[in-house]
Amino acid sequence: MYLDDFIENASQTINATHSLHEKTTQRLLPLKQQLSPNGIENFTETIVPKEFSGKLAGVDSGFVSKKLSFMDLVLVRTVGAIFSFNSSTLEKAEYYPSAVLLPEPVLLKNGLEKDEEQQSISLVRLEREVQTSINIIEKYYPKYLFIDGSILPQYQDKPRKESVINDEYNSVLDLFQKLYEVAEKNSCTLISCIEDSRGNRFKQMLSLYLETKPIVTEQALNGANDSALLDYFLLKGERTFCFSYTGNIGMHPILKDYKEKWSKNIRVFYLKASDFDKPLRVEFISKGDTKKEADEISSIVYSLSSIHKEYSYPSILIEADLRARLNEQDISIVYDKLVDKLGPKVRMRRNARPFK
Amino acid sequence: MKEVLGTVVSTIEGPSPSRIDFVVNSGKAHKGMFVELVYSEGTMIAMVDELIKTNRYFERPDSVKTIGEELEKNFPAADWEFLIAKAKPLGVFTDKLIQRSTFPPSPGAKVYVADNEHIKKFLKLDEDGMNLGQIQFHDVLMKPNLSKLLQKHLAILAMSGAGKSYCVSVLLEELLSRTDEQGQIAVIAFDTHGEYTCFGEPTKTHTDFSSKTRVIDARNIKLSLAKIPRYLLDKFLSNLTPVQKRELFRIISKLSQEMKSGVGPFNINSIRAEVKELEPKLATALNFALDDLERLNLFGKIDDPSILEIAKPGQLTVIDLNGLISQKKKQLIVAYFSEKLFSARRQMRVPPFALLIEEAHNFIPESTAAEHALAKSTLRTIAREGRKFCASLILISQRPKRLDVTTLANCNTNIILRITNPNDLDHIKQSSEGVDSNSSSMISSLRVGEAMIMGEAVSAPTFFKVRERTSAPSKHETTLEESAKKFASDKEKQDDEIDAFL
Amino acid sequence: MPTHKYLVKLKYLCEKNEIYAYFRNTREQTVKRFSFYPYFILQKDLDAKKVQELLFDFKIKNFSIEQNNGRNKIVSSSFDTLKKISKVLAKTTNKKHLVLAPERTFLLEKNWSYFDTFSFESSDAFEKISRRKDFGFHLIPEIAFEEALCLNEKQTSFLVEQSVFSTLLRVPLAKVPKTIQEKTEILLENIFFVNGGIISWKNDEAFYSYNEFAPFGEYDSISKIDFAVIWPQLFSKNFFNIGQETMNCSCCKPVKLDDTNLLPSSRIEVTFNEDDSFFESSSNTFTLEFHKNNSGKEFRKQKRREFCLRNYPIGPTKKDFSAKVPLDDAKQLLDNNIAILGKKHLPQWFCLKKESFLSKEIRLVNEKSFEEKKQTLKKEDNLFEKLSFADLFSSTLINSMNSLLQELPFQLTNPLSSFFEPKLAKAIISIQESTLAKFTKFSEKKGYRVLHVNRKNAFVKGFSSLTLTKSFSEELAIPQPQIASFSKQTKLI
Repeated sequence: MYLDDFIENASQTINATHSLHEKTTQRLLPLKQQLSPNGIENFTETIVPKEFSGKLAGVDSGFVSKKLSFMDLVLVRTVGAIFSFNSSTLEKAEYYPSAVLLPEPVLLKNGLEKDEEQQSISLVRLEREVQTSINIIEKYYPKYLFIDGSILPQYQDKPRKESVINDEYNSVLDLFQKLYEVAEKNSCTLISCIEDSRGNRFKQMLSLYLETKPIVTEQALNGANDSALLDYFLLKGERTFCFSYTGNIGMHPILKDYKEKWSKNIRVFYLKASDFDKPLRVEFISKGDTKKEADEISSIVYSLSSIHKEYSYPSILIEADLRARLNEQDISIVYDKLVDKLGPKVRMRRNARPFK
Repeated sequence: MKEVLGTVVSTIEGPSPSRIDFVVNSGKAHKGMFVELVYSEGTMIAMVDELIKTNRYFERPDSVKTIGEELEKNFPAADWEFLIAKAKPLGVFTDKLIQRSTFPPSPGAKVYVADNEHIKKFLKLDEDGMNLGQIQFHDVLMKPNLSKLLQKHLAILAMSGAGKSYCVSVLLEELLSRTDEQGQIAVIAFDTHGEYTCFGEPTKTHTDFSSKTRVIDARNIKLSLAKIPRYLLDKFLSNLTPVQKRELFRIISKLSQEMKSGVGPFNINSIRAEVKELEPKLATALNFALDDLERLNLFGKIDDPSILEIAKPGQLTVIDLNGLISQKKKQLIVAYFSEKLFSARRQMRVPPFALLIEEAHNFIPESTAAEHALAKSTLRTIAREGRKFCASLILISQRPKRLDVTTLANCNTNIILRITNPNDLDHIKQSSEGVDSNSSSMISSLRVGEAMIMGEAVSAPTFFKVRERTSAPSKHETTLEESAKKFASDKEKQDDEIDAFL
Repeated sequence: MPTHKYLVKLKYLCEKNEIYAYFRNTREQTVKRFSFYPYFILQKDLDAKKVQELLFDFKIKNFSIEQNNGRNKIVSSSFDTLKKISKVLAKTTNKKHLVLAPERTFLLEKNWSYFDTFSFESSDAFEKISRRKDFGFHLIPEIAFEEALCLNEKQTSFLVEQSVFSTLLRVPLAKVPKTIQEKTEILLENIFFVNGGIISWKNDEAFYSYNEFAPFGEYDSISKIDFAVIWPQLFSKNFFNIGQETMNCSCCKPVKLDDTNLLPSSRIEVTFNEDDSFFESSSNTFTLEFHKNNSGKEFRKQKRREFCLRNYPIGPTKKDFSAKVPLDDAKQLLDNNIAILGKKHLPQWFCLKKESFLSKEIRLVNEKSFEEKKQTLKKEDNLFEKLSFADLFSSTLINSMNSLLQELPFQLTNPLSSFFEPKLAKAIISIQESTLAKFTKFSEKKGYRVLHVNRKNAFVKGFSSLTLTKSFSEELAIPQPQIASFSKQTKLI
């Protein structure tokens, strides 16, 4: 009975929230053709799909981890897909380092705390992805390189000041910036695609805008993130205006560690590539002409992501993900071999329970 | 250096001694193809009995439908295609012997297309064997050894139109082409539809077998009353009472005795002359029975032809039953000659022979009253014991389900062409251990001219394409359109003649 | 009052060229002398002049060639010379002329015979009469004939029989041969001599003589049907007109298979439609001939053995292969579509216009026999009268004539006979075989079983064969065979 009640209540709450968002957005629709806060674009811009010919790449990694008694074992596989298009038709697909890659087992530092474990795992993954991206750019000279996830490390990846994994973090940070340089040097545009983003930057900017034109109240915007709002605001084939990654670089935990050349120029927009999927957050490093770059980037992202009406994500990243994906069984081989070699002492106590 | 076809993968089911799966790396694998791999036990030969292609991009039908053409434009879908071949190990052979598979190969073992010589060796094909066609997917002729093919009897099973008459014609060509050195047997064919009479017609456009073929119109056949086995006549005259039969047999016995004394053979009239002297009621009943016999126009003083004339090494004798309407007459002819031939063979009076029976299910049905299956007991006996005396059966049927199970089971080699009737397929599965559900599904998908051979003749069920025949085709093979056109033109001619006459 | 005497003896005196004829009765004997020069009839193909020249070349002079009834006779005063002439002609012309003993020649010329009755008006005036008187005294001088008959019927009957043959054959009593074959041979000599026939043709033609065998064992309820009685009639003009000189005449050559004068011995060419088939010929002799001269002996032997056939079957045939088969077989094969008619036939036929001398003689003997029978029948009214010499002689005469006639065809087909001629023999045998085959077929159709046939008899199961023979005779329009016997249990011989 309790469960039924809970389900009922939860459904109502969610429905109500969605309904609120929808109504709120309805009222915001007139804003779409209004000049946006960036002063050069409207709130929404129409994406113009263009034929693309050339190379583009995408990198993704898969990982699984398993806890040993006093350290963690991670299995990671990072694969880059390089597509050669001719008039928007895929002609050739290549892979780096190879289409079928054996995953790499990594033993994390021992003695990590719980938060450090996750960060360490994430840093290992990020390091592999960024390095792979650099290698791809230097080898294949793609015009675009897609990154799964943000164009910069996330806040939760940053360890505490006193953490023993700070070195890894800094190394990753440097690697990211090296990536930006390599990309710039090789005229490769880095594009990050984030699905299921929980960002609020657009909402922040909208709130500021609405202070002068209160079409809706601030409460109406509460409880909604950018994706939720824009899901109703954007139509398929539309994007938002470009905006900066953060309003205050100096306060941003990651960007403040970046060189200014990069921190200042990270731009973001959302685009809707499918009728029935949430908008996709796209991040890139602008070289100056933000609108033009955004148009170009949104065009290519839209072309690659508008294939399925219920799922919008660039095909190249889907492919890279497929190649890189790991499952739990993959790590078992390594784990089992270790247990065989070292005996039960490596196992977590909970895994040694005799009765299940 | 042989090209690797694929690599054995590990699955829940294998690799095991009875199943291996491998991913096809290069080239093509086909269902029914032979593959081999070398491992610790020797060279394993396996047959691919299933092929599955997978592709992650096409796993969800809704996505495939939604994305449509864009899928291949945007994704390297082709790169995700994998061909998994499921194969059944057939045996392992070394230089010395061939044994069954008892130990699995390792995952990762390299799989190759089976070598032609290995296939020949494994299947025990014979250079001097009967060229029935080509093994599918391999450059190897299906040449089973004559003895292995026929000695323990052969059944050719297929639905109508699947090409079994064509296959039989190829078999007959091979038998007729054998030389003395290779060993020639006599072939006697009971041809229900006149499909093999073409062998007896001289031809310049095809291989001429007419000098080795004798065609006998069953309407002209005469059987010696004195030589008809009593049990056959007994079954035939089922309308007579035991007393009447006894009297009739007594007369026949007496006439036979007189015949041996020098009076010479007797016919129905001779029996009538003796019946005249019996008590009237009895005489009447017997006369009715004799009338029935006479109406068949089948009985005479001597056999014509006799078995010594029809069983000659290297000769095909086609007994054309096509002109007969009476099923009883057909039954009697088949029963009589089978009995006589087998008896003569036991006494070594005739050469080794093969008895070919079309529509075998009519002559050896599973469950029919004795008087409607006169030949059944003789043919069953031949099926059971014929191999000791080199008297072979070649049974041809499109309704295996209706064929006597025991006899079919005694046919140690089967050539199966297309069969789709599930009852027939089940029946075959039950009577042949070489047919499992995979083979069964392959049988129903065979095209015309493709066949599976299994049993004594080959050490593993094998698919092959029946070779092209060199003999002239049967003139009975006419299409409906041609037949209709001919009828119309004949009618027109007839009408013209009538008009001219009038 | 004229006295009756019987001609009992003849003697030729070579040096006088005379025949002494002795006539006797119980009281006296008269001897008459007749001038006689032995002769034989020259075969009509031979030119008299050329023959003369030929003989002169051989330094034979003691002869003359005379015309007599349209035929040339070579007459010589010496019987030895005549024999020599005959030999020379045989060597040079391949034609051996019949030279009979002068006594017999004399009798044939005169149409007299031993024991003919003569009526003597006076010692010089005498003539032969047809009425027969008792000359049993001559046979058994010691006692009366009837007494002798009672004492030893067998011996007496034998003597009577001998006298009958002496009469019939025109040979002295002591020279009557023992076997019927020899007797028939003499009869043929007489017939051929009188008609100018020649004997002993050299021939290259193969003749196959089939040895019949009877099925062994005893069989019940058998009718023995005598066909020998009908052969003489069958070979005479009313039916087949058998004769060497009239066979294959130029005036009656047949053109179709069903022409009535085609003999069953004709060989008709047929082309077979089938391979490896067999058929049973209606002719045993043809079967034997075929078996000996054609490949496939083993097949035929096997088939015969397997089916207990009376004879070898004909075959195995080959498609499009031609063979010359007897007429009846050809018709059967054509009817059954086993063969088609060929072109190169060897027909044999008899003349429809001119009667052969053999036929004539057979008719004459038949008539004589018939006359004699008539005479006998008149006397049979009184059953109580004792059997006299005349009666015995008469009945013996009838039986002897019949037996001679019946033996005639067999003697003509006997290769040991001087009168054997292959074509004629084949014709005779073929007629016999054909008739018997038709009888067998006819009987079977009528529901009778014919167990065995030979050239003389057919053995039919059952006692109602009288109807059978009657209907057969009517069906084929030939003389009716006789029922020889009915037996409950008998061998088939």
